Amino acid sequence: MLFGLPEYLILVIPLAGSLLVPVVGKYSDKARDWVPAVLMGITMLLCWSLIPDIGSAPKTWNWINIPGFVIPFSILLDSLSVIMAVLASTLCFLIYVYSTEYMAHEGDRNRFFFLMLAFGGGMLTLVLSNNLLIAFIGWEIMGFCSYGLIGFWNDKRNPPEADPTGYDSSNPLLQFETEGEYNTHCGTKAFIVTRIGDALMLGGILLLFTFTGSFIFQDTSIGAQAVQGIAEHGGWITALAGVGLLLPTLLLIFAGAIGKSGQFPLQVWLPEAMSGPTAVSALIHAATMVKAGVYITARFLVTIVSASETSAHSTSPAGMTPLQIGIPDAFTFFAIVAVIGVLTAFITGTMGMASNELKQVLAFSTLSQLGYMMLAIGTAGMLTHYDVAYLSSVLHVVSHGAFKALLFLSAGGVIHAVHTKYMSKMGGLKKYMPKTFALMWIGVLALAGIPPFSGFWSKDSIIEHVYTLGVDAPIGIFLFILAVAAAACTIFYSIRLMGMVFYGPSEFDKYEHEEEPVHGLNDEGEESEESHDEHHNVPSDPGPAMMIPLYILAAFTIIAFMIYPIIQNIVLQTSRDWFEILIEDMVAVKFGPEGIVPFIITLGALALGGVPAYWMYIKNAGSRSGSIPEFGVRRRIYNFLKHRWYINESYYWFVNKFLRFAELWRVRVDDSIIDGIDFKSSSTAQTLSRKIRWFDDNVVDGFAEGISTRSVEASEIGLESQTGRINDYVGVVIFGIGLLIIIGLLAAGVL
Amino acid sequence: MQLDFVLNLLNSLPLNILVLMLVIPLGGAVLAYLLGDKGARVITLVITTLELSLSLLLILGTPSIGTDPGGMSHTWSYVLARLGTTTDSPVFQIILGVDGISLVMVLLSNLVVWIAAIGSNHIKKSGNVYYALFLLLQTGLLGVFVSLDLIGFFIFWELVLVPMFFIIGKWGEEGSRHASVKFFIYTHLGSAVMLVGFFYLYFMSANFTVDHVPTFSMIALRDIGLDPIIQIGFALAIFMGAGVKLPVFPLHNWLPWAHVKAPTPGSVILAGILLKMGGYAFIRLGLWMVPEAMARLAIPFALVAVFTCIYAAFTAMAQTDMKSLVAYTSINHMAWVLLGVAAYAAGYNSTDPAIQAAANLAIQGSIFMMFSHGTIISVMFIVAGQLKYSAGTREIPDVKGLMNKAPRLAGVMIIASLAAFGLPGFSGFIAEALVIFGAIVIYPLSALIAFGIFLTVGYMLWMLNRIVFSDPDPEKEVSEASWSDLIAPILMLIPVILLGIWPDLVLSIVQPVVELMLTGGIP
Repeated sequence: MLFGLPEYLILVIPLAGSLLVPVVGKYSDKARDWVPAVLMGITMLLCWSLIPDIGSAPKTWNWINIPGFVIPFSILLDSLSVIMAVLASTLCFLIYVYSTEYMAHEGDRNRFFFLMLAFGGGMLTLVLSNNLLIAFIGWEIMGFCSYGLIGFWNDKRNPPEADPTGYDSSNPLLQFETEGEYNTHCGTKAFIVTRIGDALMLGGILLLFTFTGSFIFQDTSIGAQAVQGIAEHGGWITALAGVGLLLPTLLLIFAGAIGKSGQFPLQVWLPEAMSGPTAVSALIHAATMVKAGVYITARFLVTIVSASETSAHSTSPAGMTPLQIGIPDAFTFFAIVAVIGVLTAFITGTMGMASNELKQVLAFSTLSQLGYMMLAIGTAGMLTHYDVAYLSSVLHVVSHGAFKALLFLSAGGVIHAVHTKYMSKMGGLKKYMPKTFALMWIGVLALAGIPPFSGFWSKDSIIEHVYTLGVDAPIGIFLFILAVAAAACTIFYSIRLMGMVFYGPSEFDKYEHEEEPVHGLNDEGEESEESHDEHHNVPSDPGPAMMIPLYILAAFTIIAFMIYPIIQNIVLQTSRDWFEILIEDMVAVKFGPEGIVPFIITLGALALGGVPAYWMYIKNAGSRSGSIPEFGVRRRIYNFLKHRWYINESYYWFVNKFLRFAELWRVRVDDSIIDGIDFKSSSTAQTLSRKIRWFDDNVVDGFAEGISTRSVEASEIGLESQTGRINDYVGVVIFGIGLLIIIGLLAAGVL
Repeated sequence: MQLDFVLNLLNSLPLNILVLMLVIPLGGAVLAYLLGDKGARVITLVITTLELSLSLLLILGTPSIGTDPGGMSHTWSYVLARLGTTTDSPVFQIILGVDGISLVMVLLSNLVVWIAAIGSNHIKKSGNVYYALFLLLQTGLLGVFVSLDLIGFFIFWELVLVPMFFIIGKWGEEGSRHASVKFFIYTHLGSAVMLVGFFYLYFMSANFTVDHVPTFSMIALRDIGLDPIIQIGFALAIFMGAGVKLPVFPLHNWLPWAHVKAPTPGSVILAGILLKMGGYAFIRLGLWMVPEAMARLAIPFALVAVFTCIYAAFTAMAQTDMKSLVAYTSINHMAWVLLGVAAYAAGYNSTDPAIQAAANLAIQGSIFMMFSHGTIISVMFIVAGQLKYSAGTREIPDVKGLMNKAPRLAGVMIIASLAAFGLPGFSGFIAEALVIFGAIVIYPLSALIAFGIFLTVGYMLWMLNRIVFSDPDPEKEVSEASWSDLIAPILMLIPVILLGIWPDLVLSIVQPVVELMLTGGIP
C-alpha cells in the first residue's frame, strides 16, 4: 500500500529529516519546532497505511551484497511490527506537537528537536526492520538519543532541587553542584546501564548469526537471490540447543531487552531518566525506548514459535501441556522472562509507593507495567496457546503507550505550572487546573486497571493468562501472586499521586486571596501575564498545542475497548465479528469458569490497595493523619522502599569501589611501572639514536671522508717528488735503469 | 585511461610528445639564460606548467600497455652513431617510449619540478643561470624516465648530475661546495660501476640476439639468459648505481649533505625525483629487464632495506637540523622501495599464486611509495626551508611555539608530518601498507620494518612537539610564512590527500604493467 511509495521512507523520513532540523532552524525558529511534528505526521500516515499490507512478504533492498554474504535491507510487515510502528509513530507525532509549546521558551531547541526526531526514527527502524543488524542500529540510535535528551538541560546552573522527604547521600558520585550536572549524570547513567544490556545483546546477535548464518527474521529475496530467514528455518534451534547454547544466546539477547526496558536488575536508570524535559520522558516511556525491549522479546517469541514449526492453533485446550514450543531450553528461557517480568512489576511497584517525585512515580509505574508486558510474553512462551497471552501483551503495550503518554504530558503541564517536581510541594491543584485534573484521573484509572478504561482490559487479561498457567505449572502460582500484588501496589501509588497533587490545601490559595483586591476586575489569565514574580503565578491549564494531544490520548483510553477487537483481529490474523470478540473474548470470559477466579482476586487486590490510599491521600488530604510515624516497622518499610530496595545504591557502591581501585591502579601500577617503562624506553631510544648518529657521522661518513683526505694527502706526497731539479730526475732514471737491468738478468737466469 | 579528445590532441602535436617534452625545457633553458633574472622565472614557470599539462595529457591519452614492442607507447628512436659501415652494424641510439610505470614517474617529476619552480622564489643571485640549469635538469630527469635504451638512459642519468652539482654548489648555503663535490663523486662512482654493467650486457647480447648484433635496447635485452655469476655481477652493478641514488646504507652519506646544503628547490628535486631515479632503475633495469639477476640478490637486498629503514629512522631521531631530519626520513622511506623490489624479485616466478599476488602487491607498493614520497617529502623540505626564513634557524631545539606564532606554517607542517609517518588517509599509509602486506608473505621477517614505522612516528611527533606545540620563546622572533611561500606546499598536499583516499588513480596505471611483468609476457 503506502500510496505506492517505497516502505523504507518510513525510516528515512524521520532519520534524514532530523538532519533538516538545524537547517530549518537557521531561518525560522517556529518552523523548526514544527519540522518534527510535520515529518512524523507524514510518517504516521505512512505507518497507518501499512495496516492493509500486514502479512505480506518482507520488502527488500540491497544493503550488503557480497556473494555468499548477503545482508539485505528489509522491511518487515507482520502484525507485531506494523502495530508497533503505528503506535510509535502516532505517539511520537502527538508528543512532538506537544513539544512545540512545551519547549517554546527553552534554548538550544535545534539539538532538542533533532534528537527527538532521530529518536522516533530509531524506534521505527527497530520495529520495522526485518534485519536484526539494522534493528540493532535503530536500537543504538535510540540509546544515543536518550543520552542526549535525558541530559538535555546540561547547562542549568541552579543547584538541584532538594527532595523534602529525601535522604542525604554520602556517595561522592551523587554530589551535584548544579542541576546541569545532575541531568548530565542521569543521561550518562541511562546510557551506560542500557549499554551493558546492548553489549550482551550484540554478543547474542552474533552468536545467533554464527548458527543461523542470517540476520533476517523472515524469508525474503533480493532479485532472484533468496535470503533465508531465521523464523522459517528452525534448524538453528536444535543446533543451538544441541551444543547447549540456545539458552545463553536467547538470554544474551534478552539482556539487551532488560537494559532497554528497564527490567530487574537493570531498572535503575529509568527513574533518573526523568530529569529530562517531560516530552522526553513521555517519548521514552510511551512510544520508544522502553518499548523496544518488549518489542524485541515479543519478536523473538514469535520467531521461536514460528521456527519451532508448531502450529499456533492446533493443540486443543484439553491437552494442557504448558509447553507449546517443544524444547525445554526455550521453556526455561520464557520462564526466566516471566520471572524477571513479574519481579520487575512487583519491586518497582513497591518503590513507586514511596517516591515523592511526580514523574518518578510515573517512571516506577512504567517499569511495573513493562514488567507485566514481559510477564505476558514469558507466559505466552510457556502456554499452549501462545497467541492469546501474546495478544494481551501487545494490547498492554498499546494501552500503556496511550495512557502513559497521557499521564506524562499532563504531569508535564503540572510541573510546568508549579515549578517543582516534588509532590509534597504540590497539592490542591484541582481547582486551578481542572482540565488537567480530569485528564489525569482518566490516565490513573487506566493505569490502575479500573474497568472500562484501556488498562483494565489488557492488564486483567495478562493476569488471567498467568492464572491459566498456574493451574498447570507451579511456577504460574508464584507469578500470579506477585502479579496480583503488583496490581495492588499500582492502584495505591496511582491514588496517592492524585491525592498529593490535586487534593488538599494549595499553597497558591493564599496568593490568590492576597491578590484579589489588587486585580479584582482582571481575569486570571491577565493576572498571570502581568505578574512577574514566579511564585505569584497561579497555575492554570496549558495551551491548545499541549492540550489537544491530551484529549486525543484520553479519548483513546476511554474507548479502547471498542478498538481492541480490531487489534485482536489484526494480531491473530482472524476476521471475526467485532461485536462477537467484544462480548465473548473480552467481557464474557471474565465471568466464565476460568476467568471469574482471577477476576475476583484482582478486584480484591484493587480494593486492598485502593481503599487505604483513598483514605490516606484523598479523604484526609492535607492532614497529618496519614503520615508515617518516625520509628517502627512502617518507617522501616518506607525507608526500604524510599531507598529503592538499596539496589541502586549498591550499584553506586560497586562503581565507587571500582573507581577507587582504578585510581589505585593508576597511581601504583600505571604511573610508576608502565609509564616508567615508556619513559625509560623512549630515553633509551634517544640515547641509542644519538650513538647511531655518531656512528653515521664518524664511521660511515668518516670512512668516505677519510679516503678522500688520505688520497689528497697521498697525492700531496706524490707532489713532493716533483722537485723540478734535474739531478733528482736523473738519479731516479739511473736507479730505474739499474733495477730493470737486474730484473732482466734475473729473468734470463743469469743470476 | 584513454580519452578520445586527448588522443586527438596528442596526435595533432607537431612532434612525438616525448621528444617535445624533452626539447621544450632545453629551449627554455637557453631562453631563460638570455632573458635575465625576472624573465627567467616567468619563462620557467610557464615551461614547467606547460610540461605538467603535457604530462597530464600524456597520462590521460596513453594506455598502460601500448602496442609498440615491450608494451610501450609513443616509441621514437634516433641514431647517435653507427659503429660500422653496413646497415646491420651495431648502433648507439636513443630510444624513447613510455609504459605505465614511466607514465607515473613522468607525472611525478613534472609535478615536483613545477612545485620546485614555484618554490624557487627565494633564489636571488644570478637567477637566469639558476633557471637555465633548472630547466636543463628537468630535461635530464624526464629523459631518464622515458629512455628505453641503456646508452640514452646513461646519458640522461649523467645529465642530471651536472646542473644539480652547480645548483647545490652555487646557490646552497655555507659548506655547499663540499656537499656538491661529495654528491658528485658518490653518484658518479655508482654510475661508473653501472656503466661497466651496461657494456658487459651489450657485449653479451651479441650471443643472444637473432642476428648476433650487440644492442643497448632494453626491450631487446629483456630476459636474455645470463650466466648466474654474471647475473649477480649485474645486480651488484645496478645496486651500486641505483643504490647510491636511492640511497641505501652504506652508500647514503652524500644525501644528508646534499639535501641540507642545497637550496630548498634543490632539496625538493633531489628528494622528490633524484631518489626516484634510483628506485626506477631498480625496477626498470632490474625487475623489468633482467629479473632473474635481481632474484639472486633478493635476500641481501631485503636485509639492507630493513636495516636501512631502521638505521635511518634512528639517525633521524638524533638530528637537530630540521632539514637533516627530513633527509634521513627520505632514506628511511626509500628503503621501503627497495624492500618492495626485493620482495618482488624473490616472489615473481613462484608457482604459488599467493606468492605471486604478494609480489604484485609489493612492487605496486614500491611504485606507489615513490610517488607518494615524492609528494610528501617535497612539502616537508619546503616547510623545513621555510623555517629558516621564518625563525632564522632550522635547529629544532631553537624553534619554539610555531603553533602560536605561525599557525599557517605550523598547519602545513603538521599535515606533512602526519603524511610522512603514514597516517591512514594520506598516500604514505597506502604505500607502506602495500609494501608490507606483500613483503611479509614472502619474507615474514620483513615485518621488522614495522619497527621503522614506529620510530618514524616517534621522531616525527617528537619533532612536532618541540617545534610546533611547545610554548613560544619570547626572545626568539618567529614570523608567519607568507601565502606566496606556502602556495607550493599546499598545492602539493592535494595529491598527498587525494591519493590517500583514492590510491587507484596511480595504481590503476601501474597495475597492468606489473601484471604483464608477472606473467613474463612481452606483447
